[in-house]
Amino acid sequence: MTYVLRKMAMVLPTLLVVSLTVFILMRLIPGDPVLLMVGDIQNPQAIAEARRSLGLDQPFIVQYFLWLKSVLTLNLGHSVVTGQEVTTLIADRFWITARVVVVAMAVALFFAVPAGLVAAWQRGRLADRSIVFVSILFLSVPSFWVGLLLILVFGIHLHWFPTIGYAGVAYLVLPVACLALAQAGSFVRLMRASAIDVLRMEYVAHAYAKGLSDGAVLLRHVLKNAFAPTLTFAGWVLGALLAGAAVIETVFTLPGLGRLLVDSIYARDYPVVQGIALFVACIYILMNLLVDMLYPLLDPRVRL
Amino acid sequence: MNLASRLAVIAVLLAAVAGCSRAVGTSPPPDEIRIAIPSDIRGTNPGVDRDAITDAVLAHVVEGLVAYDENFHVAPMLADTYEVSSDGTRYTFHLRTGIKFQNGARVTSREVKWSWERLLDPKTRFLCRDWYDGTHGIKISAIDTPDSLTVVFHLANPNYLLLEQMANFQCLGAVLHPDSVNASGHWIKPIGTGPYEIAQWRRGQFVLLKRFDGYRPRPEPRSGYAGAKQALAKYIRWDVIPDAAAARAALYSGQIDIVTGLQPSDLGELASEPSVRILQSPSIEWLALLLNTEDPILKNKLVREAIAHAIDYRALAKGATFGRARANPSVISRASPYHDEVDEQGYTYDPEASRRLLREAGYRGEPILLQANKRYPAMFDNAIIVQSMLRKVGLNVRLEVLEWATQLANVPARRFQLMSFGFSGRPYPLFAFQSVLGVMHENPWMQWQNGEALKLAERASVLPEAANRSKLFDDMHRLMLADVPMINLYGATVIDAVSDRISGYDAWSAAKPRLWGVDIRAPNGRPQ
Repeated sequence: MTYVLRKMAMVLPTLLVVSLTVFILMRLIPGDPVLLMVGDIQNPQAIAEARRSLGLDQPFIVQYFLWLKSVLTLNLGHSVVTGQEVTTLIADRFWITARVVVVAMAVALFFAVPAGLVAAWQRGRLADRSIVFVSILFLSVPSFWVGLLLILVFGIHLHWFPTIGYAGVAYLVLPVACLALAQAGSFVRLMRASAIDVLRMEYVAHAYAKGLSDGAVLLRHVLKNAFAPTLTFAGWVLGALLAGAAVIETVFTLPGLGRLLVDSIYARDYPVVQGIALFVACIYILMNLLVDMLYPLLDPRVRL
Repeated sequence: MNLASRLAVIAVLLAAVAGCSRAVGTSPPPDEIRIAIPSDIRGTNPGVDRDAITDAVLAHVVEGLVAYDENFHVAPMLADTYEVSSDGTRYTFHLRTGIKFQNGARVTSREVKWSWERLLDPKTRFLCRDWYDGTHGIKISAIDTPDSLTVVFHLANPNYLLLEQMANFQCLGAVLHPDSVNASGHWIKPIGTGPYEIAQWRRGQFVLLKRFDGYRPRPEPRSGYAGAKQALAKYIRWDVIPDAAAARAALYSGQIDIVTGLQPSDLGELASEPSVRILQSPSIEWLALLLNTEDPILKNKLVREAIAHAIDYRALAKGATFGRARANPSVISRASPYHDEVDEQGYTYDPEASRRLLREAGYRGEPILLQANKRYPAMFDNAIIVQSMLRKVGLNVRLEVLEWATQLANVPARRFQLMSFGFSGRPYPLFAFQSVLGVMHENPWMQWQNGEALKLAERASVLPEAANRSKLFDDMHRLMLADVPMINLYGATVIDAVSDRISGYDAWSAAKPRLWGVDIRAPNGRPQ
């Protein structure tokens, strides 16, 4: 409990630093949201009026404190581009990203953990080499390329799955498959390495000496102990992907958080970028906390 | 459950999902046309929340008194007829009878007056209010409604271009029902007179338009934004697909019916798809090279002339567009009825003259930066070719590739020497000139400041005869060539691709998709 409280106490200063850094960085990038907004209408009065109405004519420090003040009341402001509330925008987009990412992670772990375990158990044999080869292949091929191949085969040629947008479960199949394939390689490698270390332990030899079968040893003794590092890594990856799987979302035209962030940076939509940065920081903090709290469940030697 | 059983279960689940998706359909519903747009609309308030895409979508929902036809002549739309007083200060519009708003109310002069007074009110934040407040000549001083079907616009000064300005498709001069706003004047939704109304807008995903069954098309044939607007398809869905490759893939897989704004480099790939039809048209959008006349090197006119003579315009247009466009030295598009032989006069490709001019200018190889971006491939391709041509005559040109927002901000800030740029189309020549001609310290977007040209522009709007105005545009073109404030390269090409499910769609030089008069073929190949 003390550990959780200590971690929670760190949240506020972390968020403050993140907000200030993102605010400064966004203002340092050249470009003007108002010029992008008015586009091909070169009307200086309209530009000045838009700047005034968005508060962009104020000094930076005033803009920052005004924004911070509204953040403290849980109001992240409004999008410069669409006028939508940033909190609503993030909630809408995050929901789509979360569905893709969580399912993809579950699928990736579902296949990668047993595969890593089997590879470690069959170390040096054909099964191990095959698993290592496939995992390296998945690791090496960029996710956008896998995405394009999936679109080509299952979208264009077979017409099995839709390749753009989001309007139901069928629309998530290809993005989930793509993301799962992209992550599975690293999970397999990590699980294999951890399992090899655990297989060398004396308690594993002891388990075999007791006459337990390979399956029983792997499942009861090796899996639990070898999974902890993979879990830490999975937590980190989950945090990173929840913060925005921008490439996958672009390839499959999913209106998720990653695409929103990229579009908002291009449009210099300051309130949205700042809001997403804060939100992402919260996700990272939460994921780290969650992983830390799950650790003792897998390894009783660990105490928080 | 062993591994084999688990895999079998997963395989069954995947097959089920695949089956479902097929049942759900990767292709649009039979009564719906789907068209890809690269970004979401900015809002539903015409002329207030706008960009080119928003204008194009809302043009299906709202209409003005007049509109441009296919060849950029002004034609009546909500107006049945119109008259311009001989002194150019009074425009009388007689409205069509029996026209209804999408809420069922009749269109009368009261709503027209309300719509225009709302647009002219600074509180509305109409982005193009300066078109009508005297900034560029036209100043609407009053709007009268002598009867329920007649509207009279009074101008403070004579001007013969009000109709052209009203028909301009940037900033739609939409006639709306007052219920489009609430009691305190806040925007709700457009209640217009167009053939479609907004059924659903899922931000970041799509805009769904539904046929307005009470729409009465004009009797003339469909032409540009004018003529008959038959809403043949019940629904039109504008799907936001920012990635061009994803949009093409969606077209090939049958999820999208129409993709617009394609690049000439896409044509080879598109041609290999038997289910896709390619439509092309010369665009009124044009590509140009901007020269910063305030830059220490480029303020020397001899250097600017040297640059102008160093470019092989025919080769550039051919190379950058795969032979789809021809060089055009004028801001007036070849698609415009005002483009004449004078507009064909441009700089000659003469590397020797260029070298001589550089020697006369005392140019000693100082570096010159040429800015471009990769968001708009044509601007980047032009920059590459221009850089190579300029280097051949001894100009030490270096390419600086920027992100679009950065490059755009550099234009009014004058943080550039050379810039590869593009202009959206203005159908009327004067408006095309006015997008670059002006007093620079008053409007930093202006590229060209020339007192004589400004006077010609002023005169052009008060001359009643179109033929006389055309002569003034010719003079302005000659002045622009002489000053070399920018170099017009070529007009872009509109390239749209349509699936064989669709009939009646056509590309237009305005680079605006029009979904009225467009039908969905039944599986037997006939329109439904």
